[in-house]
Amino acid sequence: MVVDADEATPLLYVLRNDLELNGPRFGCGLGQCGACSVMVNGAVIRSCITPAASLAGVPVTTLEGLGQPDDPHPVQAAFVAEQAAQCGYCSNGMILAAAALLKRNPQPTDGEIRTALDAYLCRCGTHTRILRAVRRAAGQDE
Amino acid sequence: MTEISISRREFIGTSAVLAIAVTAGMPQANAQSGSGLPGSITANPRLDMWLRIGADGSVSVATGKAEIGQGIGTALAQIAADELDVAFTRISMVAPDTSVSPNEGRTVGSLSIQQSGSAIRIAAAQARGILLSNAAAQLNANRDQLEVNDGEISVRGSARSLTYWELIEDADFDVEISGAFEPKTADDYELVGKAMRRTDMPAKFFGGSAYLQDVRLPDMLHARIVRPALAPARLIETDIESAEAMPGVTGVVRNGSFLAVVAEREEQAIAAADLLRSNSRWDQSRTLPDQDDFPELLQQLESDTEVIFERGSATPAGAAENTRQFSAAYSRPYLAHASISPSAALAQFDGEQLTVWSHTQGVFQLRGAIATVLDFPESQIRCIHVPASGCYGQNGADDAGCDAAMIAMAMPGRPVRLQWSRHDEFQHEPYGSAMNLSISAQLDSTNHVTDWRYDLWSCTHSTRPGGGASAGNLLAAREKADPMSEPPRVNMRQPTGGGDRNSVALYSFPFQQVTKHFVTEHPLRVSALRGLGAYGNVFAIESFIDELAAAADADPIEFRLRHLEDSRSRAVLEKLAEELSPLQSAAGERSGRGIGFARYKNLGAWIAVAADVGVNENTGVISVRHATAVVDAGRIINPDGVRNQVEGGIVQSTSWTLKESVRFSSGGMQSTDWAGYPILRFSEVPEVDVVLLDRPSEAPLGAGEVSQGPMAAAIANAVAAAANVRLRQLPLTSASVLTALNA
Repeated sequence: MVVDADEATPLLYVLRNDLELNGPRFGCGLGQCGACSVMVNGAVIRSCITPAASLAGVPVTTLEGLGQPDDPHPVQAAFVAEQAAQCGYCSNGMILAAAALLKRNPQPTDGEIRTALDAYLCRCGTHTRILRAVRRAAGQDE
Repeated sequence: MTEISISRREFIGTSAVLAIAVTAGMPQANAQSGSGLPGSITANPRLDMWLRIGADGSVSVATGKAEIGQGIGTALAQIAADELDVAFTRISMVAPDTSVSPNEGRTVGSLSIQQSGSAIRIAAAQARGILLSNAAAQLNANRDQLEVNDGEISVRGSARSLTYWELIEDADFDVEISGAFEPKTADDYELVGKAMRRTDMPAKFFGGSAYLQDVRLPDMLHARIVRPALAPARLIETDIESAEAMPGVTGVVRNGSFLAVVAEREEQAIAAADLLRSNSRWDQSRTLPDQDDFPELLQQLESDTEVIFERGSATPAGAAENTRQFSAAYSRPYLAHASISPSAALAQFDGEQLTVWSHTQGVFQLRGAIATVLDFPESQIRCIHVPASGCYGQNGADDAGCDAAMIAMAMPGRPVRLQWSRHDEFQHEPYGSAMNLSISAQLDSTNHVTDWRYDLWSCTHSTRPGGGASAGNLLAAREKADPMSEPPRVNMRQPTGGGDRNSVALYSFPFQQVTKHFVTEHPLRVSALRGLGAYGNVFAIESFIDELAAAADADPIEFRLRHLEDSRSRAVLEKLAEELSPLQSAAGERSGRGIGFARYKNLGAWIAVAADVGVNENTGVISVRHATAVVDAGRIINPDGVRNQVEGGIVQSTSWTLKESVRFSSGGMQSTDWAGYPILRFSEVPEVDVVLLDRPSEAPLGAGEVSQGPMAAAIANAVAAAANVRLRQLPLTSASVLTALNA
């Protein structure tokens, strides 16, 4: 697909408006909340402050690409099992950050999980369930 | 269709009454009308408005209540499936839509299960009853010989059966619900009471279409509003041509001081809006007060004073010996909803019909407001609810809806998606009001509270827009040419109240008096935030009760029980005492545990919560380590849903209590993004355990707002226990801890 846009256009708008993807979400446009997160080379970046043009030729994984209901990523499956959402709007960033964490650190401590997610904001107070989901995805069932 | 429009206009007229009556508090949980039917049925009596059964085996259930992250869609589907005797997976819930849905007022006050759940129960029972009657005739059997299993009606002990899907063609649902068919009792429930998984979650975790922001219409345009920091404000000068010349801009909408840019691409709308904002000048002469002048300033503003509650007789002066007098003053700041998704709306005007997609809490009320602001017939406006992020009350949703409508009407044809920026949301959302709370009480010689006097100062807790004069609450209404005026302040009344919600202590005191100082000046824009006055009032009452307990040298739970007779109140506290494990300590901090208790609105769900905190005496940092809560929400529809709401409320309250305060000064607003309004992060979140007391024979009670006030008090009480400092001004910051420690 070829998108005709100003080269400074943040990736988020190309993903949502041109590619019509729902995973990365608009939360602030300032890189402060993490709702817009996408994965590039195993790392999570904020698509609202990343120019689309800067990722020319680089594969980007969004929430949709991480897994689907018939073949979920373990973190997505864990979020379902723990019912880790109230409004769910922050869950895109949470799921990607958790997936990236578990890839580099398959058995994180509680402190390491909290640190990895510290820059992702949740306003509903679903943190306790998200933590349970990440522990579950890591196989740390209580 | 016309008939429905007209009758809906009547419902609009009565729905405003319904909404007010509801918030004024119908005594029973099911808000019974005179006919004995739930209020929502009386307002929307036709069965086919609530339920449609398809020959294809589908069941579609309508509700006037919106999914706002509280899981209501799932819980209502459980109720419907149980009453109908169909599989849970057959049910699809229809989101509130003014063209098809029942009008049940707004989704507020933790009333969705009570209001909509009770209505759906009755409607589903009626539908099942009609189908069974039809089946009995066709199967030549008595009704009591029939059994239903996933829509299949069979005659007990025979092979004869018919399905709902076969019967529906000849069944008439275009009837008024009579309530003639009894709904099931608790013993017969299979789905109600089960932790069914939420039906909306998978789309949210896998990138399906889940939110308003995911709605994409063909040829959709993107829009941004252009407002100054302090709005509404008179537009003095602007340079529309400079914005029109920007790439992709299809138009600039100006209506009086209302200004918005529309473009083909979203980033083009943002760029043009930024340019237009910098090329425009507004009257910003209205100055904000200095935040440092709070909390005292709140009591210097104009207010109407009224004793709103008095019970018992005061102890005559000098009459009792060995009484001790205590008093304290508490306060809470302005709090932001700070929804994680800034408000948005879609609107399309085809020349005759205006359609608005919004995450408003009330599609009928928003439609009425838009009709008034645009001077356009309600019958030609359709308002459809699509969920966005949590709103926690009135955020920018209604304003964004009206903004989008105004833009669409000015540019007929293509649909327009209006998105508020993060700055828009922080600056323009109506905050939860600051409050000051003053208590004085006496302890007698037996260490019982005798006289209790309570004073509260608060601005209104509702500036919700609806049809008529209240549409003037919308920013666009006061910006447009021929602007509306700001409506008179709404002073919400007992028993549910606004700023006075939960201001009447549930304890049995020989004398209790509550005086409300309704502040009529509004330095900042305010409206309903989750819990309304309950957060501030319960924080104050439960802190003060704890101070009295300490003065009485009594255990905090035992002291509360000393003044509580109601068995369900006592039960949550007694259960909490049983559930508590020993307090853990961490190195380098003083540990303490504090208790909070309330019954939301004194009519809703009960909670007792214990917070375990650590206080670092060098840095002043308060760490909330653990919370244990016991909740009585009556008959529980979905225990995981209740648990989710209580956990969330406890964590959100921890954030409000430790960190949050809208920051402003005479120089302007400082809380314009997350840096200026920090909220709780993962490193600061407590572990939370919730114990539910299920009472299947009692009415269900909403749990969405039960935990906020009690958790705030529990934290303050824990800090007092840990570090021997009594903090009375919210938020409880490390600076305030250090000041108190060094005092």
